[in-house]
Amino acid sequence: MNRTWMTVASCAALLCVAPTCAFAQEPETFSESGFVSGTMDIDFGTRRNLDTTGKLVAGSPAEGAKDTYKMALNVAKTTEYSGSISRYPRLESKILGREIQAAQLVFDVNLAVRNPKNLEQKKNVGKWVGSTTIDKEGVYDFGGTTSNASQLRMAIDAVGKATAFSGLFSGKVYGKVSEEKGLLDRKLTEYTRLVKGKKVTIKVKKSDPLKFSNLQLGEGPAQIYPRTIVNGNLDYDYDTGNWLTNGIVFKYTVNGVEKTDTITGSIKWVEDPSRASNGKGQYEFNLRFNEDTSKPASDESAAFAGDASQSEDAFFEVDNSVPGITGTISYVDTLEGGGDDEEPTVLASKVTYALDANKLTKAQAVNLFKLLMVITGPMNDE
Amino acid sequence: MTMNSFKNLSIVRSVVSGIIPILIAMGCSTDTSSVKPSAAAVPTATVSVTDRTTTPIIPKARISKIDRKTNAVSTSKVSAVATAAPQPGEPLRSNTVTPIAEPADAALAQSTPLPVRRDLEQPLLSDQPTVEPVASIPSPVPSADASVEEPQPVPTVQNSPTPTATAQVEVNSITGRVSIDFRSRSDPEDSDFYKIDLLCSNTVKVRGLIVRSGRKVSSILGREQQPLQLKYDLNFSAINPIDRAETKRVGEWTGALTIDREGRYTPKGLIIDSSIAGPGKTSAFSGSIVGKAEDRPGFLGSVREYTRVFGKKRVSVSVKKSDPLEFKNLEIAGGPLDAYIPAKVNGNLDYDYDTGNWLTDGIVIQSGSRRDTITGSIKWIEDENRLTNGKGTYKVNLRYNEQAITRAQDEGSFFESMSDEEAFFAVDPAVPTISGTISYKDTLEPGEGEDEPKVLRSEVTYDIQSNGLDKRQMMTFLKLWLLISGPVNDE
Repeated sequence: MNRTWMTVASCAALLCVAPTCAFAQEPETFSESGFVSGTMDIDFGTRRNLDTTGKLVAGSPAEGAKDTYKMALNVAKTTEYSGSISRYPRLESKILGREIQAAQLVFDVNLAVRNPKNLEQKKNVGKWVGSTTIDKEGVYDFGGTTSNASQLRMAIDAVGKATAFSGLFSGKVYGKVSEEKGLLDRKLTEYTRLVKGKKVTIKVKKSDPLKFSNLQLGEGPAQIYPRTIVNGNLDYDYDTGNWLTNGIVFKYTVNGVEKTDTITGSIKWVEDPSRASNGKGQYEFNLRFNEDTSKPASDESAAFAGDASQSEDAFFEVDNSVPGITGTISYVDTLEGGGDDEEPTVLASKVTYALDANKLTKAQAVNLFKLLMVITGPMNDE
Repeated sequence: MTMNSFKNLSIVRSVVSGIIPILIAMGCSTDTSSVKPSAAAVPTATVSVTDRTTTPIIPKARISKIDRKTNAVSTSKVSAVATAAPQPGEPLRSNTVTPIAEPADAALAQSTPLPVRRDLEQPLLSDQPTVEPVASIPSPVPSADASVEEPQPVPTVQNSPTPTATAQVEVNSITGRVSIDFRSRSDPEDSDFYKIDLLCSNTVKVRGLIVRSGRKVSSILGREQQPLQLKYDLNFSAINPIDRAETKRVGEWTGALTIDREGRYTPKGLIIDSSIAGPGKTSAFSGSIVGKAEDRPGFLGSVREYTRVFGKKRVSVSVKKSDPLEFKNLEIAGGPLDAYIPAKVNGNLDYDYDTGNWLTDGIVIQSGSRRDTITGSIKWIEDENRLTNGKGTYKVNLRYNEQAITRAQDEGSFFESMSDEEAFFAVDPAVPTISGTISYKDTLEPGEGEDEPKVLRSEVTYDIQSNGLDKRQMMTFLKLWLLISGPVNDE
């Protein structure tokens, strides 16, 4: 009798546990260096090829001139992106200010995947194609949720057992507006993060926001990289060259479970001391995922931690107890001109990505990567 | 159990264990000196690099090769494609017509020169019996991507050169050649000629001519005097399944498809006549295909102008977002044999300029009681040296009833996670597919400045296989493809 009940009880337990485990199966997390790696070659054609017709506003690039971002990047070990993003500037006529050429971002990126069971195997599975317009207010309009013919999307082919699909991008990014000279200085903007259980705040006087408004990142290259809605901001601090955020929120669904990731932290610009001659500089990434909910429970020692955490340096401290992405994006720029008080012009950049993941899922890494590509223009400007 | 019965059981066991290998060896015999193996009996190539131990009952997908020795494409796109077991390895030749060429430069160099204008006083095709070598099972093909593991080789079958009584090999495929002369691009008053020489499912030859004539309008009022049209003059010949050396003309496809200025393709007397070889009937095409409306520069209304860039191409005058083809109750005529009953087609096939794909949300084919929904893509891949060698390839990857099959999953599907990259490397034998390549070798005329070069001629080689589709489905697909010969062969 006891044996029978035990058998029944264990079977019942198995039935309860097994399907629950399957439904609530959490994606695997990774802590690896080079989780986003590769190169990007940037040719700032708009800075070299200037208008000579005299029909456009003085100093304008020539009609058809573009900046080209040519990439060969790997993300999360199993996705690869090769191709280019072209950025066309808005051009206006000299006299009437009429739009001669609309600003737009055009994607032509090949997508490949590697077999997670055998990384030696690689297949091309589609393309990241389409375009987005940028109006004169600096708004990137990716379109609505129903497709138009050239809407930015991940166009995935039917390959192997995977079905074809099209992961549409939509929504808006509010970017940098034209210089508003003569206006009052803007108010100070505060950015806060948690360092060793304590809040650290810095204030930025002059910042340029990139605001994500229901920006939809298209699904792909595989179904485990789902459609994701992004809201929040990533602001550029003119004084330091840093990118700061009070929270970029990613919402998506994995295996039927809704997920929300909130990214906080910074992308710090560090110039080589000899940058004027060697053109070197790098972004140092220190972005944390779900810092509020991921921080380990603090014990009594936190009460005795000194006030050093209140310093600005503390804001940029790396905390590996929290899921996040660190590492660098390094630049070797080809510079022209400059001197005295004038900044040199960057004509071309050779960029090397070496970002490390700490306790991140593949979907989280790919989401961040897609966002970085969408804002590749302002990210790579000076 | 007594000792004796145990002993007897041991004897039986040892006898059985000795017989089983013999039986297996007999079943897998490759000695086909007298009998052609059926597709099911022939060991097929291993399905996928992730599942090398499975021996399928039906022909399964293999990793397709792209770098045929002549067609090294610019992107190493490797996808699992379905294939029936044996493929015709030798060209099917007739005494009087252009042979169906092998997919190789050597064969392309041997093609009959153009023009292909039909001599109206003599039949284009001959009904003389053809001597066709027996198809041999191909040797394994190299992978386009060195990182992809090689599939296990298909055993080579030694066949006699001229078999007498043979059982037909069940092969469902579309192979052969189409030679296109785009004469209208040199002389707007002239027409484009599509010389067709195709073999469907190894049983029916489709040969003849499709002529595309341009629209003629009056110079002053712009009134249409002659519509844009495709004129069909094709013959069907059946291959005797008992004696493949014998063919017989069994039907013809004649009539026209007119295209109005709104891009609507309408059959005009377009029929398949199956009464050529005996009692048969005439079956008509009906319905319509709606393509891209004609641009009318200078006419009332505006001409849309955008500046767009597609990869390396610059389109500075007009935007080509996507070129649609919508099938609206398109009735595909039956014939030339009774088995090929009519079919009704609805759905769309759109060309996406951004990706170079012909895409469909679903082409629905209703034929008798059978309803098929085709999804997938036909991807255009240009050779990296296309400007000099004129090469490009359509990679066909169409799936039949994929959604229905995917939905009909067992309880296990509820416990499956979302597909990760592994899915791209797996093969689903449950989904019937049409796959393969349509390879182009174009004669190009350089464009002016940054304009795209103009294609003056195309030599097109078909090598399409099916997995899990019958001859009727393949013939319907071929007829549909020939109906849209114009747009699918344009740039």
